[in-house]
Amino acid sequence: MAIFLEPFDAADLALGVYSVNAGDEDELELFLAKPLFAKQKSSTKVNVQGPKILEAQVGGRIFRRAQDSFGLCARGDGLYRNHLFLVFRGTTEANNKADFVTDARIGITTSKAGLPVHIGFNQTFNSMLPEIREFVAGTDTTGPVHCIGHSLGGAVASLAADWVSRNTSRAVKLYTFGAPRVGTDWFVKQTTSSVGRENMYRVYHKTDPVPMVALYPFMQAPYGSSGHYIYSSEPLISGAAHAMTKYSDSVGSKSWEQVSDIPDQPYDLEAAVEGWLKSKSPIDSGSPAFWRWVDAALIYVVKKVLMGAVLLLQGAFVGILTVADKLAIILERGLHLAEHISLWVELLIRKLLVALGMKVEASKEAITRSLIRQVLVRLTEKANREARNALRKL
Amino acid sequence: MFGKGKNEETFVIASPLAGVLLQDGKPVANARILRRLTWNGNEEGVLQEFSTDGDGRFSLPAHEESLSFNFLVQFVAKSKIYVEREESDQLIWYAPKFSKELYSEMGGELKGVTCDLLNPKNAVDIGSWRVLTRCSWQQ
Repeated sequence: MAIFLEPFDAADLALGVYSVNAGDEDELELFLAKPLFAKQKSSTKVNVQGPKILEAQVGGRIFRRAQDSFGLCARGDGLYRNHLFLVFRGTTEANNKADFVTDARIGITTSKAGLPVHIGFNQTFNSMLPEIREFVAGTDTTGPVHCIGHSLGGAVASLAADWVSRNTSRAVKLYTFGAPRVGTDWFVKQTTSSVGRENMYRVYHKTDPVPMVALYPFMQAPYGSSGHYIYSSEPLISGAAHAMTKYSDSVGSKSWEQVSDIPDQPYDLEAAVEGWLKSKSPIDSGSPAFWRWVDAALIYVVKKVLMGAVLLLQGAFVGILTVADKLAIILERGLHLAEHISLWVELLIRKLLVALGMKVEASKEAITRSLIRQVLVRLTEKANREARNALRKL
Repeated sequence: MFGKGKNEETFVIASPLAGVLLQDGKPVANARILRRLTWNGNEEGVLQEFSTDGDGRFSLPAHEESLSFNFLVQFVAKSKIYVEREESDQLIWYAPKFSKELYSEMGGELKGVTCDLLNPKNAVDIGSWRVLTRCSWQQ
């Protein structure tokens, strides 16, 4: 009996959900025409087991609020009899002002399970949760729940998978394409344990900018895994690499084992990160590799400081201070710790100063909390600028 | 903010579709054909009118728009073709389209298209995804 979706089917659903709008039977009929779905009439009524269209609040806050049909629940059939499918989509509104990745409101809140996650994604998921809960509870099935989505839809699918794993006794499978980072390392560790590493299929192109943001402390799940990485020989980050149609083409009819290129740098090896921080060679700050190194180095250095100062990261990031404020506090504290820690903070800040084209301070004393904060803010701005440039190159 | 593209590009909303309209195997002459097209930012869409000739033949042209999207937005256009009938308009073709290129919704120009109003609606895997249709064509 099939217990997971092949890459083709997961991509097919992640793409197809973009075509479904509430109230159009032909659109729903075509989406549900796949043999893996049970043939049922749609319904918007509560407590009926047919497929449901979910509505989500996108953007949030008064002036950005917009209604968009966002996801779909359906029951499986054939090989997937007794399974449920929760399929979410990304942004389709041409004039949507809700820049979900670098929204000014980007911040961390606690999920239903008390874990630190992105405020915007959490808000979108929570707006659909009552209907998801009703759908899952209203079926007489006990099989796995497949959560699927592209882009923002992948972020919402991740939160849905986490919720199902904690609140039902069902197995969960999560499939995301080009999804941004949903939570901090504490969320990532917890959700990897709750959903199960082997149940998480994260697909991303090397040159897609969206999975690279938001920067650390946001991380990708499953914890400690490079996911289903798709290699590209293109040297630059590209907006075109984010399109769901591009993901569909990339996975084609391959198996999951075949959609698993090896990332070309060992970013998770401490020695490699140390080597990058110490290296004096020029930095190509426009390449995808630069962002992976920055991410790996931030993780490495912040962890060193936290361990040295016996601080808890999860507590440190929820609150009114921005992520840059908090990281600046942590890194500045690291500068005053023992040499084997402060050295790495100094090397990281100097490396980032060079990469950002900022003046490199000669003395360690010149590296203040204010300067570190400025570096982190500039770094985030640069990440956003890279994404805009990627768009222009389309 | 993240990606505000100003440069407009040409997006093919619907690719050309030509064929013969039948009812129970017989050509339907001078029938009114309606095509509703929608895309991101225009959910109301546009409604276009065509008709079959004396032999039931129809030929619907491509429809293009100049659009500009933030790359986070997934392009999706929908083309729905109906035949006007006294009882109710009959859908003969519904094709979602997820990329801007010509024929991306049907994987190339379709030849020998026949659409019979008595056929059931079928989901057919074609192009980058699938279509819902009462038509058939040469493979």
